[in-house]
Amino acid sequence: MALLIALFLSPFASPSPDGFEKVAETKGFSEKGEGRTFWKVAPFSDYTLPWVKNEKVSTALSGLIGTLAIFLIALGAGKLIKKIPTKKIILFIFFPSLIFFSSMPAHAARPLTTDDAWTVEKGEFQLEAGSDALRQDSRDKEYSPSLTLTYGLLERMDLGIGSGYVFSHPKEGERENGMADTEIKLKYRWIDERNWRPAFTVSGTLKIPTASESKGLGSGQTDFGINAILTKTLGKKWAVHLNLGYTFIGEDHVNNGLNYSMAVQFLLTEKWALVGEVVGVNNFNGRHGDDPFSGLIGTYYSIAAKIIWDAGVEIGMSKAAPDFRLTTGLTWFFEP
Amino acid sequence: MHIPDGFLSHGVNAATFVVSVGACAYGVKRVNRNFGEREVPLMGVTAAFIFAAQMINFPVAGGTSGHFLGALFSSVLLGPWASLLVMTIVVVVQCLGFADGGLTAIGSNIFNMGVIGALGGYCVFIFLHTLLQKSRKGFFVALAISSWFSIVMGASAAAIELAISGTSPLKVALPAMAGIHGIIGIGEAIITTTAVSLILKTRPDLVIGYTEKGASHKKAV
Repeated sequence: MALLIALFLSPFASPSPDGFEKVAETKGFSEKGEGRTFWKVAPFSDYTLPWVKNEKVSTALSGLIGTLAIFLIALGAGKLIKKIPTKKIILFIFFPSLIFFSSMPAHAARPLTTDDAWTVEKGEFQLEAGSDALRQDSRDKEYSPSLTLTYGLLERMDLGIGSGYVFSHPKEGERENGMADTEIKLKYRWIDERNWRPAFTVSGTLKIPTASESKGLGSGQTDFGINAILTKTLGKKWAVHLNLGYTFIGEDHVNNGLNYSMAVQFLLTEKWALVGEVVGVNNFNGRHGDDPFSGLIGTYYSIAAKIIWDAGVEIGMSKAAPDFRLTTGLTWFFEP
Repeated sequence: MHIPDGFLSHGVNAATFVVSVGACAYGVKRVNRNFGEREVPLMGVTAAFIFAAQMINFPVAGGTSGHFLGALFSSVLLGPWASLLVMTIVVVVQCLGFADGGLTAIGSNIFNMGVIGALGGYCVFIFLHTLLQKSRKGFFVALAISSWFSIVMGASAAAIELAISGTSPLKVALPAMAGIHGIIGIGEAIITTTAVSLILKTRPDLVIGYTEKGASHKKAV
């Protein structure tokens, strides 16, 4: 029945814009969406098959394929849902936080941008080495190795300092390279995680302008940011991190920024984990296009007792964010 | 009613995404508990029917067209929670496969058509069905009115999201969206009642929202 509709009726559907498109046109905001499509690899864009010339046949066939695909997907989803034991789902939805295990390794930092509420253990050092490659505006490329050293000052407090080196390859203009900005971060955990309660940490970050302003690698001004961090472990395998922060930007004519992010961490095995996050900044200047917003998926693997390797891919979802960023690095914990 | 990329702000997208994911997670739990072997293939057929029917735009006044949403149709067949999942699958496939509706707006689209359309529409249906006489006629009147509401409420939610995002002020977007979809909703009501009455004639056991007495909706999950 559904297949018949897709095959025989869909080619003769009204070509007029639908209700939503019409409102967008008449009320003058239809151009807002132009050039903003993030998913460009849809196989049957606008219900046509690219390799079929006849428009009506093309629509009918794409509808047929879609209908069959939907049927199989919904059938598969239904079967899958039936298979999950109900108890597990209830536990997962309602009482995940009642079970608290301390087996979660206190590591979430790389490759995430989102910070975690955990701090480096007292008297221990954490050295993070990273390497990033990113592309901006479909042309400008940048490579930057970086190094961050963090020391556990107190049981609930750590202090970190990090910097890097930037190789900037803009498509137009000269290639530049030089030291990146240096960041000093002090983190203090106010509340430990217990039962239903998440861990709560506040961090302050001072950006010292060590990057060259004349080469265009930095702003040449000092920034200060404060960040509130919540971390909640859910069962043995999951952890969620929420960040909300405000950055006072020293550069003139640049608005202070509100940054927000959320990350999820999932332990596949004792050594291997998957991470994902969304990160955004709101510049309060009323122009949405200026606000970077991106998502990252990544993984980390414990290659030795105190050494963790990681990698991640970040995809920009707004113009101000990089098109993509690849990152990989090593984290090493050691006691002097 | 599929909102493309770039119309809504990230905050609105994120908020509706979180609500939609939460609703779907609960929906999975409900479906898992209440579905038997028989309902699973029905879910597939319903999703396929909705997808196919959504491709057919019927003309409404003023150079505009509308298409069937099917949220209430599947709610009456499968119950509101399975209907939410069906709408979610349809919206996700339309977005990824057919570039209909934006990837960043997917949370909002699921919210408008699934959470508001299917769950909200079903609440209206239950309310009307218990209010009206508990007969065949009452069932169809409730069905027609609530399917109209499912469209208009979904469109109004879209208008509110556009207003919060700063795309179009509420006093412009809400009357325009609700107005046009008020007409499209009539088409929705006609298709939903026709389709359900056809199924009731041939396989009345498939329509779990239909009860002669109207009161025992506990089964209808």
